[in-house]
Order: sequence, then C-alpha cells, then structure tokens
Amino acid sequence: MNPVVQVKDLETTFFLKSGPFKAVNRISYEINQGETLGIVGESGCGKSVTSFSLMKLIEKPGMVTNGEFLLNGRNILTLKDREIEDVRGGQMAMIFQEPMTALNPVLTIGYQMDEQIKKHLRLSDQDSRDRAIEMLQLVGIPSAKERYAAYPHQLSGGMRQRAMIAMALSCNPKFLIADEPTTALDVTIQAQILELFQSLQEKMNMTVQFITHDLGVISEVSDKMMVMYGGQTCEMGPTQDIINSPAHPYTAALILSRPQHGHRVERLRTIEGSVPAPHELPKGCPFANRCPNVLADCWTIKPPRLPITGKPGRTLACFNPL
Amino acid sequence: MSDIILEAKNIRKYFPIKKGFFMREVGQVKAVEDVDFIVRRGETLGLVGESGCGKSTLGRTLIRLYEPTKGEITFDGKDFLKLKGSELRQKRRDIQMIFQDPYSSLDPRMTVGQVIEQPFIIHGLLQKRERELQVKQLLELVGLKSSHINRYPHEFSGGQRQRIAIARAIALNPKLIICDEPVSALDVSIQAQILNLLKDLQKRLNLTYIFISHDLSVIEHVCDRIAVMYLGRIVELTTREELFANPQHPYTQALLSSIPTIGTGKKKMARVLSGEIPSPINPPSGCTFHPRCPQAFAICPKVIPVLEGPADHIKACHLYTKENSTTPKELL
Repeated sequence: MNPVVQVKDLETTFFLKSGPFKAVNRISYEINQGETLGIVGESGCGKSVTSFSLMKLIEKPGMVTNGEFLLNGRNILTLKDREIEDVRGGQMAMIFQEPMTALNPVLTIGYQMDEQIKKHLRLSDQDSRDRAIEMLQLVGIPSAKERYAAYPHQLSGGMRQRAMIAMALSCNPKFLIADEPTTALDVTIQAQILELFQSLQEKMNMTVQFITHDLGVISEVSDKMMVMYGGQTCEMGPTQDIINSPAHPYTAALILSRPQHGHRVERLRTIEGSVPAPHELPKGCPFANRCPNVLADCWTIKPPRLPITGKPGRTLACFNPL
Repeated sequence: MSDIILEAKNIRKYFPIKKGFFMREVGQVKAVEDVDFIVRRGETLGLVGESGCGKSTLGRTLIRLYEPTKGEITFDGKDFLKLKGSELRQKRRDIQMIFQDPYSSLDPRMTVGQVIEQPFIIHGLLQKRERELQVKQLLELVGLKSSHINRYPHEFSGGQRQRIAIARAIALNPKLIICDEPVSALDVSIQAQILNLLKDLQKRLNLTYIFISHDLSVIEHVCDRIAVMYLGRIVELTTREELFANPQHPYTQALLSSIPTIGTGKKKMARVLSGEIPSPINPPSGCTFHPRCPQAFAICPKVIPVLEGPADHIKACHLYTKENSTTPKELL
C-alpha cells in the first residue's frame, strides 16, 4: 500500500532583500494511512513553513523552489489555483494555532462552515446547515444550534479551537495538518482538545501531520516524529524510540533541556547560544555552532540523512551521533 | 530579622466594568479574592493556574502596580500598603519584577546600558562613571558581554532580552523578585538557560522569588512551595514534594494529570475535566470549581470552602472538612 502523503525534497525559499533564504531545505517524509507524524522544533526551524508549503499557502516573497508533495499519488504542488481550491478544505485541511486570526471575524461560524461544505460536498443550503451543526455537536460544543449563528469573538478560546476543528473536519479530509493546535490553550482545555482530536482521527481514519514545539504533546499523540532544525531534518523515526534513545545531539538536548515532571534535576541541560539568523547558518550542519559533538567536517559538509543500522524505521543526519 | 519576608492577608482586587456615556459601574471583575499567604526568605513560592485565575494580577498587586481593593501586605516588617512618597520608593528598591514578554518590557529607544541604569537614576544612586561600571558588571552577571552596553534591544534574541530584564531587576540588589511567566515566551532550549540563570542568581544574591507560571513542569523545577489558584482564589498550598506526590484538591489533581509527559508512549488522552473556566465577573456560587468538579456534592454550590488543614498542606475543599467527612457524600 502506498503512503497517503509523500513529500520529496521539499524546498521553500524566501527571497529577501538580504538574499535568498531556504526556510525549508530539502526535506522528505511519508505518512501512512491513519498515522500521525509529529514535527517538532523551535521557532524558526521551518515546521510551519513546511505545512504552509503543502497547503500552497506560501506567499511572496516566499516560493516553493523544489520538490513534490503527493497526496494519494497526485502531485499537489503543480496544481493550478482553481484545482487546489477543490483539494484544500476537501481532501486536505488545516487547523491553525490561533483561531482568532484564522477565522473571519465578520462572518458567523455557520456561514464560514456552510461555504466550505457547499463547495466540497455539494449539499443544499438546508443539508449543509445540518451538516455544520452536526459537526459542531461532534466536537463537543454545547447548544450547537445557537453557536452556529455566533461570531468568532462570542466564543471562548477553547470553543473557537473546537469550531475550527469542526470546520477542518466537516468535509471528511483524508489528510489533516494541525499546526500547534493547542499551544494557545490552557492545559486542562488542551487535554480535552487532544482527546477529541484522537477519537475523531480514529473514527475517520485520518492521516495527520501534527506540528508542535512541545515534546510532551508529540510524545502522547504521534506514531512517528521528525525533529527539525534550521529548515532541515535532524532525525526521524518511531516517536517512543527517538524519545527513549535520541541519536542526534539536538534531539537529546531538546529532551534534556525541558524540566520533566517527576525527574527533578538541580540544573537543566542547556543548548548554548541561540538559533542563528538565516544568513548566519553554518554551511554544513545547521546545528554545528551549538553542537557539543561537533567535528571539523560538520562546518563544511551537510550531513546526509541515512538509516540507522539496527534501528528499523529511523533515519539520522549527523556525522557524530550519540 | 524575621524569617518571613512577605505576608499577604485577605488580598482582594476587583476591577470595575464601566459602560455607557457616563461610565457607570455595571459590574466587577473579581480577579483576586481573599488571598492569604506568606513568603519565607530565600525560598521560591510558585503561583500556578490557568489563564484568568488571577495569578498575574496578584503578582502586580503585591508590588503595588495595582492598588488592592482590600487587604494587608507586610513586606520586610513594614506595612507596605501604608507607605507613601520617599518611604515607599525606598522600599520598592527591595522588590522587583520580571515580566513575561521581553519584547514589550524593554523600551526600544533605549540602549541596553540606559535600560539597566534606569533604576540607579530613578533612585538617585551613583555617579555616571560608577553607573556604567555597575551596568557592565550586571551584564556579565547575567551572561551577556559588557561590550553589549551600547546596543539596542532589537539587536538581541528573546532569551538575551530576558537576561537584560533580569539585569535591570537585580540592579538595586532587591530582596524579593516577582517573576511573572519569565520563560513562557521563550523556546525550550532558551527556557533552560534562563531557569538556570535565575537559580544561580538566587544562590549568589540570596534572593527570594515569587514565581508565576501556568507551566507545571517549570513550576516543579524551580519552586519550593506552590500555591494553586483557581478563579482568583488559592485552592491548595503546600510544598513541592507534597503537591506532586499527594495533590488533594480535585482541581490540582486534574491539572497534574493534564500535563503531557515525555516518554510514556502514545496513549488515549483521558478527559480529566469537562467544561471551561467560568467568568470571574459572575463566578459560580459556593466553591467556584463545583461546576467542573468530578467530586462535587450537595454543600459545594452553597458554601465557600476555606483554606485549612495541617500547616504545610492547606487546601480549600469540602471533601476534607471535618463535618463533611463524616456525613455521607451525596453526589450532585
């Protein structure tokens, strides 16, 4: 069986005044039916740009400059604007971090849902309204009929995020991108949303790309994970395997720098320095200037991503792994 | 010198809601309700809770950025709320604050040197040359280079800006620092650097911290004692070990089980709490947590529970009061 999602050598470049900057630098991955891929990394690592590239939402001065994205074997990136409109919101959908900016403030929740449902499912006014209300109920919004007529600002943060999930799922997408869907929420609300998300994914057998900076969330929701730094993939593989025995120094540092519940240490491990500015990225491995294991080659040669022998499903881009 | 550096009694902070042409007061946001606690010298007291629970308002009230509606604050043996003019300014040197967002808490038109020397100028301390020397020392102390003194905040990353804010806070050698979500806006790897720095400074300068955060893992890492807040009230207050090993208030229990943990494997999330945090304008009657509480019973919507229990572990919950523990728990 072919994977639902195949991304090959994706490269997205921003043409800035200071010169071109590759926010996503040749990344490749696959996601199978019903599987969740977690993408983790710090701000500026390219995890959101990757998702926006797949949705064809990159705007000037940015551009996808290489690679392909096959959704069930069909290359999405070469589609024309009209064609992509049929796919986006239908076969694939996206949940954004900040529901207040993703929803249109001057239209009711219901109007925004109807618009999408009518387009993709070709239902009548009455049927699409019923479908929208059914979806709002499904995501646990109380008195869904009234909320259907509400404007986004009339809902709380958690409710808005639920409404956005309802909207994203309303046309039965095969592939869902969730970009930091719970980052803006409180922990108890986050737990509710993640639970909802998992049960819906199971019910609809959806393929999911879940982006977050929170390793705890990744660890609880994803089957496999990809660690990104400086627009590149550091390592990829089954989530628990990576968390229990990280191979890339960056992954290890990321795990150890987070205070962990129940494992209290006097001092946290830190990664010295900070993420370099785009034009200051080392030529070779982007992590070279902060890496404790750095070798001479790391500065000049980009480490290729290769399978780790003896660890099925894992790949790594590092000359001097742990 | 007393062991207690700060004592807050019955602190209450209401914000008026004004409406209409005449700005009539139509209601109140009850941000902080009757909060009592003490802070001991050299310790870190954590205030944890979700958005809108009043933890930041409480922090700001303690430093008198907001005047409390009611209550008493004793700071370093003095009645802090009665202080005025020069006396107040004098005492304020001893109590400083670090804010969440290092992008908005530093004036973009001031150089780093000017930002950090402000406290000295405001309090009329030191001559220009001495100030510069102090600023340079402070920069080194927080892990920046003294050559950065003439740069502007926009030239620094988020983590470095937070270091500048910390340098400003420790400039006058304060006794107590209120850290309001100091690492929430930072990336994980930078959070660790700042948390380590705060710990080092605490040891070196003998500081007391009140540490406000919504992130329980961070709170667990830095705090000695922890107060859990819900809708303006403290619902449980105890030592770190006790809180994490033996949480007693149902809200604390829910909060702890909501933390996503690393390395436990993909799992079905359990729904720990249903419903949302009610509005502080019109909070629920009795125990404000009762509409979401899985263990609520008949008395909960009627009577406000008080903080009580053994001195090192107090909680405000009817499940633990004497009369109620003997009567059968009639579930709602």
